[in-house]
Amino acid sequence: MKKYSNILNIFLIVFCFLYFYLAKQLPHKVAVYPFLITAILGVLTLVHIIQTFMKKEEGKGEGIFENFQGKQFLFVITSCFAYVFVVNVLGFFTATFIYLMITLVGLRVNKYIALITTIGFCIGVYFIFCSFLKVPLPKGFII
Amino acid sequence: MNDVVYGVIKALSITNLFAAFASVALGIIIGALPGLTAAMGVALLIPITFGMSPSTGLITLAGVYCGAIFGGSISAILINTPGTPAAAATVIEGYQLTLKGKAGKALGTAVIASFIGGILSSIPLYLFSPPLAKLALKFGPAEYFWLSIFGLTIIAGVSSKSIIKGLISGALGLMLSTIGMDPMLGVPRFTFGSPYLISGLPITATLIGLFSMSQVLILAEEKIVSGRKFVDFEDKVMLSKDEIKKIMPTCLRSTVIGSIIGILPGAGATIASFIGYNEAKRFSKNKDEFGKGAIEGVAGAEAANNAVTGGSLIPTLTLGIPGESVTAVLLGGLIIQGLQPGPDLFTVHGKITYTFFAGFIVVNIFMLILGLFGSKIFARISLVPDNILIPLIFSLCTVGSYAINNQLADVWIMFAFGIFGYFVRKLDLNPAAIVLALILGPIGETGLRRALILSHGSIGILFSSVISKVLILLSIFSLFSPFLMERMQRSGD
Repeated sequence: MKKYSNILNIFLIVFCFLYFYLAKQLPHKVAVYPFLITAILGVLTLVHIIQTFMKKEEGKGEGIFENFQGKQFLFVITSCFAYVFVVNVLGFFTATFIYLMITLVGLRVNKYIALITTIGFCIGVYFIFCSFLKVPLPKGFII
Repeated sequence: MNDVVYGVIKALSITNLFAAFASVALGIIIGALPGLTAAMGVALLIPITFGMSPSTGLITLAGVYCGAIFGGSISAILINTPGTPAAAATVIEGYQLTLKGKAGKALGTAVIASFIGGILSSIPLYLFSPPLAKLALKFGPAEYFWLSIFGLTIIAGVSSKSIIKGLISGALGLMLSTIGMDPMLGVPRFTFGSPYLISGLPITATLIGLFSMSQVLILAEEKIVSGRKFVDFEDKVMLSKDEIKKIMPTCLRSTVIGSIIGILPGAGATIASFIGYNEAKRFSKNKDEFGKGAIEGVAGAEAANNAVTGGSLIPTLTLGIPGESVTAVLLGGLIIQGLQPGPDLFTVHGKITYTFFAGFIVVNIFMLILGLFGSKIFARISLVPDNILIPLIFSLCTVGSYAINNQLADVWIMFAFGIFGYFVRKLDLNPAAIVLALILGPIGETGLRRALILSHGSIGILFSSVISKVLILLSIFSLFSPFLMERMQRSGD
């Protein structure tokens, strides 16, 4: 766990410096409040660093990524990214159909259940957002 | 008084009744599905409510909130897994009853206790909200500054596993809140030249990313559980008169506990349910039954966690300080509807607010009906495996974040905050504190800068009024309150 506290410390330090650097580009009167927040986060980060140093290392194997399913996680996040990327190109319903089918089958859902779920979901979204709420959904060159 | 009567009549309109019914059903499903939380459900529903009238939208959000808190008990009782953290105490007695073949009784107790807790918590909501909101009329810029500090310290301190990490989350949220136009001088800050960011981060997309997409990633990293099984039951869900009589004192006691804990910003339903359970055990004449399947134990936990719903709405609506993470998200829904917490909600927007209050009662009545007659169906829905939920939730995140402004940029913001939210949760930071800072940040900043302009730069103005002094003391107290809460929870355990 100490390892992850150190990662958090590094992230916070980098974030503080980056924010401070960007705040410095602002006119003085506008930058005062951001500087104040940087100082607050800086102090809190310092306290967290001290806490991390004082904390005893806990037992091996105990970690926040202990049962992490790497391949599955990567597959889900990649398919999500691709979905957002193409939703405006293919149109919401086409992109959703492809995304749901690929992800469901990829996550080992039975093909027929995946197909029924996908069609049911698309119909549900159409009725709630298009018919009932009249919300326009991303339109691409298909639908 | 007119607004109160108007609210009751309006809440009973067909549209609002339908919204309450559907949202409670949806909330119960979300709560019953292990891994999904009430905050996630409310965040996902915000875009849908945007297209509704403000009162219908708020009733819908309240329906999901109350339904999800009760729904958590279904999987707690039937599959020994709390659907939401608030149902953790229900598992202790609820699953023991299931093993004894009394799952129906356990569910019946849970739904009746939840109903009593929820509906009675509307009394303090009606009684205490207007006077507390009037107090906000006396607030000047300095008081608003301290109010936002108080809100942040309390949610950062109490709702987080570590006070320092809670405060760090709040500070990160404050930084994110500075993106956009400077509130006093109109100069763009941290927008990287993009006109899209001039009005700041889109609150709905940020909320959906932090609470809903991050949940998708949390589910995706774990081994898929596809064969969840629950114990089928044949006994009646309805309780006998004697059984209702037996649980009634526990329900009333837990309602008081839950309402008080709800009003205290930051404490939340999980703590309330453990204290409610513990007090049920302490006052019970049948202490030996506890741990082996006592219906009073289920009643104690469920009445307390549902009583939190009404109580936690009080500081949220009057002062803009959410009682827990779900109400932090709900506050976002309120702001999207163009409503600002405070006295205006009870004067200018009185009709909307009192319709919401009456709708809150209706929601609890539907929760009772659906719980008594639909628990078996909801229990079956709770078996939907994560591999089906993951892509469906993400698709809803996408359509939800797009729906508010019809901009794909909002979807990318949701995506970015989903990944950020995933790491926030993995590193034990507090997403609720980040969201609250995003909402309270501009209020605090404007308050501070206006106060300093009024006093020509003298910081004395920040400490001059009685209200400011009280808020400073409360902020200091809230920083130390986690130690108190820890002791309370330990005694509950």
